Amino acid sequence: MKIMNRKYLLRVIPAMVAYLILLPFCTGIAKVLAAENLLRYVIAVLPVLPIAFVFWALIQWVRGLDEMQQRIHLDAAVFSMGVTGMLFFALGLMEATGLKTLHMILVLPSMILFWGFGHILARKRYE
Amino acid sequence: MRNRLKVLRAERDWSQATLADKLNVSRQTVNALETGKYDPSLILAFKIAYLFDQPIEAIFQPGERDLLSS
Repeated sequence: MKIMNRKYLLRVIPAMVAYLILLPFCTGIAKVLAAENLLRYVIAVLPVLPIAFVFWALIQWVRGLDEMQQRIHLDAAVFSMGVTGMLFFALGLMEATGLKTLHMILVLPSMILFWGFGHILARKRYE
Repeated sequence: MRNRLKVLRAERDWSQATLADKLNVSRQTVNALETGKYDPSLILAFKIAYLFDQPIEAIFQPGERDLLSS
């Protein structure tokens, strides 16, 4: 396995483990705290920290790619941003009419999913 | 852009993976370069020229469309 990929995994795996431990723990504690207690909200967003670290690791990984691979990921990222943005914009408009749609927490997984699709499409240009 | 990358690589009996390692790029990038699907940056073009000990113009030949497009 290439050094960059190994480094990336060595950073991401512990971060994701931390996220999976923090998420139920923080959610559980936040729920029992009173609504007017600021600590409730601080604890609720703690799982964002390991995810922020994953994004830092992702940036380092992309920086280690060669120029063509970086261009492919740029195309994929723009595709993901566009599709996710339009999707949740449309859902927001539907919500404004009273329709119950997807939870905001699905924005990030959607971006990752569409980044994957975008990568497949962008890569084809160079095959 | 047309290029002689495949010919130069074959003369040295290098695989695409070998050339990729020497240029510090992926094998997919080498393949895209050879098929003309990807044009290298100036720095990569210089690296390639230095590796094959030839001037850039002897390896890469821009087509008329490359020169005319904005």
